[in-house]
Amino acid sequence: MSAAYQYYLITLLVYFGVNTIACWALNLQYGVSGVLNFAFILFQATGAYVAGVLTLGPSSGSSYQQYILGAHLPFPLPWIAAAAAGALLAYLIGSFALRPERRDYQAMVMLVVSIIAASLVASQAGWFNGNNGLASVPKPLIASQNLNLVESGWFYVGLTAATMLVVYFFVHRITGSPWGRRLRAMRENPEALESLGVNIKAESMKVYVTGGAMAALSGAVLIQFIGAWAPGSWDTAETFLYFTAVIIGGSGNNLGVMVGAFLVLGLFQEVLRYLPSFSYTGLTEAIQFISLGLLILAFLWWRPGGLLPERKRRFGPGPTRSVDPTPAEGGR
Amino acid sequence: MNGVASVLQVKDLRIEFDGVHAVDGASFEIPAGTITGLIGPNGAGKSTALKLIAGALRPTGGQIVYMGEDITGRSAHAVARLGVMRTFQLSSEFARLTVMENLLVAAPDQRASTLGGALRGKRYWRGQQGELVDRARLLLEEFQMSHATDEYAGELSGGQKRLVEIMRALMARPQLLLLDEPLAGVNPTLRLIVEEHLLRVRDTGITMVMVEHELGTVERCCDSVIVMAQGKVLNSGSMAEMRESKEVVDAYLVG
Repeated sequence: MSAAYQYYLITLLVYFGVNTIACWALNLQYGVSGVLNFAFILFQATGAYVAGVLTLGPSSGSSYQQYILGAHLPFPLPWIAAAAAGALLAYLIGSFALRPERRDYQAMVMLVVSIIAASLVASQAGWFNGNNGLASVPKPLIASQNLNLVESGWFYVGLTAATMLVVYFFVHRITGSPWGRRLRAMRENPEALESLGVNIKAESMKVYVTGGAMAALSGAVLIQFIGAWAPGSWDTAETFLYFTAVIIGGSGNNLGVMVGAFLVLGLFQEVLRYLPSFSYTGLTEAIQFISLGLLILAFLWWRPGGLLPERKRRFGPGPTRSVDPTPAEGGR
Repeated sequence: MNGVASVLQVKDLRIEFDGVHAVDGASFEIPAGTITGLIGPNGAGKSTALKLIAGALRPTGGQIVYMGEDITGRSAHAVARLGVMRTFQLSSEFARLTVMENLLVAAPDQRASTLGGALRGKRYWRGQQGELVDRARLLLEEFQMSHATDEYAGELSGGQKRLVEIMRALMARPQLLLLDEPLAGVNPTLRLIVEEHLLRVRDTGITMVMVEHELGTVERCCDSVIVMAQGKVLNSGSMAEMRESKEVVDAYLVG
């Protein structure tokens, strides 16, 4: 395989990993817990910026790029810091935006916060280099190994896969546990859950913060691969792309949303790339969004559970008399 | 009242929505270990009174004392943790959870119901969950719902959903159970079975307040009744006494 093809494959794989981690985060918030996070992309951006500036080193203040918090932290500290920043931001936004009993309000506030944040970051050149964004962010652990582009690419694929495994372990344990069950109950009927003694505001905050950290981590993985990050990378529309992937893949099912990440954010985009561009610029992009919109409508109409719907947790009929009940647990 | 310890004292309870006094100075006491019927015409403020007690609404006036503790204005989850559980007038099952899961969610002090616990893995919580599953199975059997264990609660009939809700509230080990039309939509045969079950629950020491329109059920289940109309308590006593009371009969006929 030629180096160019290898690098193409490497790029696809890293994007798949990043998108999957992001979809798991969104699935935990929206698919499992019903927290409609329309500011989702903001958390990925936070992770990217934080990991970026903590890798680039102190800002020289030159005209090339300006940013705050610059430092040369060794890997994996920038990623950990990125996740922590995502969690912190989620806590701040969640403290005023989370209203589990008013989901419409909550969704709108988050959308507005996301738009405001994007305009602020674009206009404040001193924060993260404004509209031009950060550039030349190096890949981690590369300098010490003396690898060429393709080798370092495969190394990065391994790093991404390892991160995916860690995040999967996390979400898998959560969704299969009694806490996961409680979160699903919150999605179904927050008021009823509250009447059973559960503080739904606190529970919403926990998933919002956990998901925020995971989304930020996905941003950190992405920026160190592509090396750059600018306001154009996190348009509000991106949030809805992630929602599309989660809904089509199978809201509430971790494997399902991974399939969604592959099909919607991977395959679908790549196929469109090979379509001949015609008419005026931007038309292909518009068609892409229109077809995604139609796809999401089709799924909501005919297959609302997605390709791999949430699994039913079966306990079996159990003993008819209360003797030796060894419950056969469903699934996992 | 009458030397019987009361679990709940409601004093001059009031709530106003945009000038409408839904509950307008209601006072009553609920004796321990009894089932009290809360009856009255539509719009009398019965359901609102239950919501106020459960903390789902905040009163604009008055006081709610539960087991000697003033709980006025506390949040719903805080009141629930003290053992006050409420079922809803409209079905409020967790639709895309199975019947078994609906019950398990309600169990208090569950292992791994936090992030930290969840990350410790199945070994940490499986044993305790097994015990909860057994408890849930017993409840399902008593309510003749074992066959629906693994069905999504949202796919049950209206009557079955009410039963899931009652079982769910019982699973939470309540001290005081507030039932808002618990038997609406339950077929007559099952209704009698559930009534008997509620009496058995009462005999285990759980106190209940029940809003109910079907007076036959009230007669069979309730130790005493409180009659409300227009946000106020009209009268209280045994069902037989209420049938004799002219103002009660008037209020019902007018309402």
